[in-house]
Amino acid sequence: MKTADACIYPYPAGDTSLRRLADELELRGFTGAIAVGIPSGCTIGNVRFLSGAEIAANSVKSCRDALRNAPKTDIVMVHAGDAALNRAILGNISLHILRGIYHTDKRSFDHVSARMAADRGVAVDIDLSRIITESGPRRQRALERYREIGRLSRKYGFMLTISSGGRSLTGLRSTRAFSLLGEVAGLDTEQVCEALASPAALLSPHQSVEVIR
Amino acid sequence: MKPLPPTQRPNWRYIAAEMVPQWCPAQARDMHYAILGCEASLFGDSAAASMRTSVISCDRGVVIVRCIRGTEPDVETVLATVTDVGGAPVALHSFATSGTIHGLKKKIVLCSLPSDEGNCKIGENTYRILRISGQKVDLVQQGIKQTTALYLDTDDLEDF
Repeated sequence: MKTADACIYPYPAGDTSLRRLADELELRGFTGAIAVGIPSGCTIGNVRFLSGAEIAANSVKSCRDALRNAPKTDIVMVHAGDAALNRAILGNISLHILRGIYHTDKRSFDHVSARMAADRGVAVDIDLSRIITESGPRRQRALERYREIGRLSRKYGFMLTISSGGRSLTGLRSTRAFSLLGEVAGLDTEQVCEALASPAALLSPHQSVEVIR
Repeated sequence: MKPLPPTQRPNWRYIAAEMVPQWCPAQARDMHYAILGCEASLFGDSAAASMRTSVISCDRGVVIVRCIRGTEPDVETVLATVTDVGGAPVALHSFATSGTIHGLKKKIVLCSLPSDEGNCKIGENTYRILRISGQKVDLVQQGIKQTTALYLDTDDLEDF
């Protein structure tokens, strides 16, 4: 899974079936994707799908409850909140991707959160649907937040993922569009390539060497 | 009137983009306004003016866009941000760039037009079945205000 879209919503959350999405993703240069709402990971054609659970909570307790009630999935994505919540989530919850950073304020993801994300192998998602579908102040705010996240990622080395957030066939974009829109969001080409490969890396995180006797 | 010599003409580049869904009845004029709107929204009026983008043709699911040489990456970025044309949801995926329309047309492989295969009923809604190339099937519901669609596969259609 060298290039993966970090969040898509197949039918019934969206209007496109998983098989059709697999066709389209392959055509647009992807080899994998994280699909929210599918029971388990699968491979269709040359596209590997990982199952994802998306959790939006306003406290660590509710986040933990939601995680307990959610079906078991390959990837857990939690929506970001204010600075205290983000630090608490990064410190206490076992998650893979922190999403929805675009609607948080500027100080919600700072150098402390960045260092925690880097230490725990948590990726921060760059949702391109905010750049594609929004306009005006909302798009400007998303771009501003993404540029800040890109800068922090370069400095502290936490992983990034890029997602189209597509609920439909018309919501998907090609890998070329990902890199072009990533550039607009202040990411360099290397960061975009790494971000596209991150979903596979999240499944097999780097761990310290163990001596087996 | 004497025509401009080639050295004094602007250096155009032509970009071909695939329209998804292919059956979207978008007119070239609507497409032009949609692209200009996205351009001004993303890069501002000044940058949009310097790109001098215009739609040459919009036919059979392929859009040909003209722009000034050197602005192709920006125009491709703009094409990626187009989400609706004339009220219909559309995505544009650029796939080829050339210095001449003749050169560009060599790179375009036109797909067969979607064939209408009657109607089907899912729940309370009636959909028109459009078979796209391969196993792709689009179910289209023509509403008064907007068109909704389900993008499926032949196997999915059997499951329904």
